[in-house]
Amino acid sequence: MTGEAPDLELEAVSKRYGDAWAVRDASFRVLRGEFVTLLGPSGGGKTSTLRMIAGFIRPDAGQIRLRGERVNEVPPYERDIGMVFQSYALFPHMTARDNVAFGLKMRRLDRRATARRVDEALALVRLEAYAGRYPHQLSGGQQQRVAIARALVIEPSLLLLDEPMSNLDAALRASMQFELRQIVERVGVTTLYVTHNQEEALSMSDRIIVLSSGRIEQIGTPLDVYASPANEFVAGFLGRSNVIRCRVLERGGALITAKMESGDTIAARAPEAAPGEAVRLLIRPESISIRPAGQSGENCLQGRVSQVAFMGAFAEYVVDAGGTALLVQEPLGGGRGVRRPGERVTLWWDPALAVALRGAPPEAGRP
Amino acid sequence: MRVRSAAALAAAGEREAAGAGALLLAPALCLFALFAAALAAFFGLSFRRVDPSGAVIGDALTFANYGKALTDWLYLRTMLLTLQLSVQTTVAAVVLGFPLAYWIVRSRSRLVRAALIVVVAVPFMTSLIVRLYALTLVLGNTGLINRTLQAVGVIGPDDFVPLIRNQASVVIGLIYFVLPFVVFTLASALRRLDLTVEEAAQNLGADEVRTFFLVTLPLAGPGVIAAASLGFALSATAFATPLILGGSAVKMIANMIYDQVLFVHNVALGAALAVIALLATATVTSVYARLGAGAAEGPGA
Repeated sequence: MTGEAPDLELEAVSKRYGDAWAVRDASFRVLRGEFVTLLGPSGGGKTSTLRMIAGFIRPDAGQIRLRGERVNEVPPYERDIGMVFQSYALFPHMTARDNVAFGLKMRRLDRRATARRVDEALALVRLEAYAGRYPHQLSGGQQQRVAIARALVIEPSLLLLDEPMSNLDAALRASMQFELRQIVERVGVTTLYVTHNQEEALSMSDRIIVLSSGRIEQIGTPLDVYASPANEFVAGFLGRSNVIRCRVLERGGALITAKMESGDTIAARAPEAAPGEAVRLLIRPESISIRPAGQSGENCLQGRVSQVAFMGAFAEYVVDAGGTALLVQEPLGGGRGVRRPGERVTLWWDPALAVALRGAPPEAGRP
Repeated sequence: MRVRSAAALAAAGEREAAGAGALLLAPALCLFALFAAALAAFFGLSFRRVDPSGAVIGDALTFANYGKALTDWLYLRTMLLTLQLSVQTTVAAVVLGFPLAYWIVRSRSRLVRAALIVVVAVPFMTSLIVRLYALTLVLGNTGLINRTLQAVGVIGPDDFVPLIRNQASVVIGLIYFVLPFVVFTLASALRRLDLTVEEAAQNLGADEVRTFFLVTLPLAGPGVIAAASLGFALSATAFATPLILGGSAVKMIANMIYDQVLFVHNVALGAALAVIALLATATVTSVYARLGAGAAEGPGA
């Protein structure tokens, strides 16, 4: 850790509306040049968090610091933050060029420097040819580019993006994800991105902050939160997971062996669970492999295919293993056919890919 | 066979529906014809000569009434005064009404919003005449304000400040009259305005004042023009307000026409004045409408 303060730091920030907590006790940091995503379902507190950072709403408790300075009471126009709104919020009475120039005019930059920087920003988003158009003359994707250029041209200390892809169609969304990441990297701006789309979060971020019901569930790299979810909510929100209830029999190193309710013994990664403890094992459908029926050995479960779905590149099966229904994905490359319902199979997984969660299971609806 | 008869039935049904539609339109058309006939008769009268009793003389057409209306300082002065008072009223009503409308639309408190709407709307529910007489009780020479000033000792016990039968009192009355129309027109325009656009301006470094003048006001432009146009049209055609608050001291064009027709019996001159007033108001309103349409479409559209 150098002596430099993080570009953004939230410390125990809370916001409530009446009895409902929009954000509860949120603490995190975004370091210089980092791309961090706030990921969660709608109503999870993402947008409230973003609006507090931008200065449109004030936190009830906690500290928000930009480059080490507390900004809780600083009005939005003095925060030096660039923001891309979900609706883009372009000024309808100004051309693309004037939209982009607005922030520089507010900073009283001289005319020549303004023109140069606006040109650069428009070139960055490849909109030079559309500078004279009004927002209503631009497509959704072009409007989004103007919004990005407008936010970046002021060279903000922090870039906020509020669900910027939600108004684009699927094809455009995929290419914009890639392009946005490139633009942000080229400019080197510290970025906080809000989305409810797990694919966007996984593909774009350096780190992901998973939010639910106003609380931070987990902070980690995309690989961390996907492979080692902190709880069932994170596991369920980022992709799908099988949850297996079992009791720890013994441990060896970071691995445990545990007994399922069916009586089968399985292995998983659980650095902290103690023998005798009830745990829930999380295992991704693509981490389970299917072997010929009747194989035995460590981590082998006998089962019967009960449901089949052809998904193109892979097949999805529900396999009944001693009373526990497990979702399994199997790649179909190399001419492998889809299995039939009723087929008997052996399931196996690498114990390192199964994560054991300790503690009581969550109540319905909220971990 | 059956199919054809069904189609025939459907066609007959449509014809019947169209007939019923025309029938429903008939009362409105009759009323419209009545208004048009009245206006046409008045328009015709403005080109006639009348005797002192008000009876039309001969069949000859003349522009003399228009000549008199447009050259006699008495009438010109009334027209200019009408223009002046209407502009003053419009400007004041828009300036006063904008913050009110903004507050109604933007207030987060439902109570504040409801209270403001009631304050603005209640005058709508009382007769204009009643409201104007109520105003005279406040502004009159022995009215609330003058008595308060006497009681406090600002003026002598038999003294008074003239707050009535002058231009200021007429403008106050006109503002009172047009303000609800202006506020509601502005409010509906402001309600359509996207709040995040203002947030974007603030995010880019514009404080509240610059956000208002650079974003809110330009985007509310068509609404302001519509409100001003309505305010102007209502003021320019006001009759009861100058009559009650201005008396013989302040006469607007509608009062002048009324006097010509009822007291001077010069119906022809009254008609000519009315036609001129109508054309003037229509011109101003259409200019406003053009401005409003231009602002709504946005430049370059």
